[in-house]
Amino acid sequence: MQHNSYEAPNAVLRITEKISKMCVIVSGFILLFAVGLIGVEVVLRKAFSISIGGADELSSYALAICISWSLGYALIHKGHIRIDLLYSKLSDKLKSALDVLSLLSMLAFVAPLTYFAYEVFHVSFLRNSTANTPLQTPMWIPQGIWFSGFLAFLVTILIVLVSSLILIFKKDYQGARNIAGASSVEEEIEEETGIRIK
Amino acid sequence: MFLNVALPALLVLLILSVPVAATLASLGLLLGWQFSPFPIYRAIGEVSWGTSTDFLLVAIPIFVLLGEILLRAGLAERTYNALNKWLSWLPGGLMHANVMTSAMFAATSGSSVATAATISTVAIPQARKNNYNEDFFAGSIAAGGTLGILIPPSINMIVYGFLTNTSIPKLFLAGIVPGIILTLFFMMFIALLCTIKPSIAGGKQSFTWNEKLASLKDIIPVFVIFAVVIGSIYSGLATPTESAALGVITAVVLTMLYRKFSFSMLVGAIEGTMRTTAMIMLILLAAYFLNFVLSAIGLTAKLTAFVNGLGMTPLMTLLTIVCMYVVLGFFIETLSLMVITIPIVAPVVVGMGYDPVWFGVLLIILIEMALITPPVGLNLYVVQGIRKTGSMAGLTIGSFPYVIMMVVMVIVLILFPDLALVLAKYVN
Amino acid sequence: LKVVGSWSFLSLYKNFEVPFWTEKLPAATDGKISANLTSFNEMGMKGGEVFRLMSMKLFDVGSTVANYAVSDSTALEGLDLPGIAPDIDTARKVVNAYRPVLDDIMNESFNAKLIGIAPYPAQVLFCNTEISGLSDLKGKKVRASGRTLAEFLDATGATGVTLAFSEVPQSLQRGVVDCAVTGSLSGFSAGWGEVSTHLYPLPIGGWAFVVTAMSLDTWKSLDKNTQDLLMTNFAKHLEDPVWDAVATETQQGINCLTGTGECPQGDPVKMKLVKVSKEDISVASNILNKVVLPKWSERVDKKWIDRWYETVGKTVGISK
Ligand code: NA
Ligand code: NA
Repeated sequence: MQHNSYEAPNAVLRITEKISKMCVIVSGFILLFAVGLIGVEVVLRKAFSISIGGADELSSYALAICISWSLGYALIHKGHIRIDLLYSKLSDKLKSALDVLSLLSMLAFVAPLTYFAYEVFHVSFLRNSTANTPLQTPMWIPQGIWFSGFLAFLVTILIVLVSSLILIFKKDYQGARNIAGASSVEEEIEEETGIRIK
Repeated sequence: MFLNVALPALLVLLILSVPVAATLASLGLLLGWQFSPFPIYRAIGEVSWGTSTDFLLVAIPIFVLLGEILLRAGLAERTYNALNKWLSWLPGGLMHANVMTSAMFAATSGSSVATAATISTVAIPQARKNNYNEDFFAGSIAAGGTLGILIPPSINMIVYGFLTNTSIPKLFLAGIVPGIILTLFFMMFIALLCTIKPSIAGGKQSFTWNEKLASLKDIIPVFVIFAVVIGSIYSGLATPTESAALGVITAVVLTMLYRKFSFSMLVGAIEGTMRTTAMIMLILLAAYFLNFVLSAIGLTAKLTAFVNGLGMTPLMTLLTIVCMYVVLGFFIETLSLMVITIPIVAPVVVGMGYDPVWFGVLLIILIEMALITPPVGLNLYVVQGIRKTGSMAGLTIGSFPYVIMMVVMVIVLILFPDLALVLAKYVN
Repeated sequence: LKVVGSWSFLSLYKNFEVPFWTEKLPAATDGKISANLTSFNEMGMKGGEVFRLMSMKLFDVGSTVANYAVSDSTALEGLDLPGIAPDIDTARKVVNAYRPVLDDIMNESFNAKLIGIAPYPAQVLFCNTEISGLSDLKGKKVRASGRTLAEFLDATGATGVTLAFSEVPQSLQRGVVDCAVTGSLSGFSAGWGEVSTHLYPLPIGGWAFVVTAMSLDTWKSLDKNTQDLLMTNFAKHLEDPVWDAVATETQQGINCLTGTGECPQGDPVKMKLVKVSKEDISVASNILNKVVLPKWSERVDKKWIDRWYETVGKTVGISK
């Protein structure tokens, strides 16, 4: 199994990481379920000219859920792409400043996104909107799960932000960067392949 | 407005290492709020829901998952060792295995980081043992790894197809011939270089026919996966997303047959998949929203009109765009480069009468180039990160010939557009 | 006015919406109304969210295909049921009968005022396999979008398959699907004619009516005179000419696809035109009555069902 170099500086982050990992694994199995469903659909369609109906629809909800519920995990594991052309040349202090800026900008993006994702869900709920498909899925169900993923991501950003601010005030820039910094090549390779470089 | 507000803001935020997704989305929110009397920022929820549930994009996590499973099953290593046995007689020996493994692994996987990293770990120790010139050796890995986005299936092509409404099967098909030609270019270059300067190539290894034949079973899985994924699209069995699902199912069955399957391996593959999916999709959501705002405030139309108003011939415009990608490719990470530029560039190019499928292939080659040009070149980073010896400058020099070959490929493709379109035409 | 128009690459937008909103309406109102027009697809929308975003005050006027927006308002489905209007004259009668009902629906669902309804060319069936009528659809894989069409096809024994529009030609050719539904002329332009052999001209996909509506707040901010000018000019300069054009386009599409008659849009292809028999029309009407309408009434408020029978039902001779 892929080993995990993640070392959390405090209990809250440690728990957040555990929870985010659980969310990712659950989403992953939802994706696998969608894969299976699509597979069955293709085989049935080819062999018997029948359609189980809705494999595509359900798997597109699976995608939405996978996206929003894996964002927090990606944040903790430094998966969100940052361009480190300037960053890599700066002092620890400035790096930490940019890390905070980058978390704040994530907030500036994700807070409105979460709010308006809620609005999508809420409007569908009020209107009783159903998908224009034979399944007639009540839209608020997938949209609600999708929106809650963004909410969880928002909370994760706040936890990471506060944790790194605490470390920065303690002048532990290295520590702050461990949780909020841009990922180095070594970390990137390790996350992608499980190959540990030292 | 674009030139004096949006563009500088974009560049400043990116330089300050603000996450690409946050940069694009904040810019969208800001522009929408500042330059429109209507609250268009409120559309971010609806637009994101639409993007999040696009069936075409379901292919992205599934293809990522496919690559992750195969990688964890040790497929790349075994393919590499097998190909080495078959190619070691060529001048340049192992380096051909580097390129071929990348090309073949490309046929099954989306992630070039994973491919380049895996091949580096297997190949570099062998290169040392056999006294290869390490810079040129590592260069061939970095360059070979870029083939993954040109030879189908390709996540970058899905992104292009999504942003420009171009048929994914056509794009996939169009990538095959240029992908093979570019692979051959790479191998011909290696053979030529090693014939002229044998000191670059290391000691020859030789293998018996029995060893060679025995190694074939290690290559079979790659062909099976490729046949299932690409075959199911062109035989009419499946759409691209469905073909990805069939690929994953086949991969799981194969890893079980090879006794590499375990629950913890699956969980590892899922974690890797979700991290990559989150990264790609957040950028796509942000880029799509930014596009929405740019066209809502009329900027896209103005830019197109501006370019058309320059009065350049289509070919000149195209060459300018190619140069722009080469230059931007030095500095901007590739996915970001694609999502920022495609929505603006593709309509201009297609509007001048160029085929969108053909341009997609051209663009992908330019993106490949960006992966191995300094200072920001993901594949250079990855290979350097693993080899640990030698300098980045040395690796850059070692990869440079392949950049030249990509430039040649771009020129060839402009002169003979049919290289990309011939298969699609034949199939139609 | 900020106006969001329909599909940018289709004739309705290029030849009618653009001149209407940017030239004719400003001229007719002496510049009192001027519009800033973009199509929904150019903005990256899929079509279904247009009215929802309009009710969020993102723009003043929105146009989209009624069937795209039915997620948010099942009552909208009543406008364009599969196979209800075999010819354009019936289609126009249906639209006129349903117009007041639609205005109320738009008002209730989206806080909007109905401005007008314009059709796309008839949504006909392209098959890459021999068919001679509706009964041959049994066991065929048909690309369908929308649940009423899916229910209709289901009743004929066909299997509904969902595909992106851009994937249809390849899929028809490779046999992923046997048949697919779209407008005759747009199918010709998108190259469907080259990958399919039989054309069945009964509009089982309906007419893909484009509904144009204005946010009620904007509507109320206009004075009575301007409101009247808008409505009369929309009817005169957009609706009427589009209906005329669509009759021509539907025929031209069929000409181009079957190589019979004039085809100014390019080189015609030679698909076989399947004659729509009287029996098929009554089969379609029967499926509508026995399958599609009952299913629709399960998901829509009873008052809309009743009003449908009073208006459209009466027009086409379907009663409970
Ligand atoms: Na690939
Ligand atoms: Na680069």
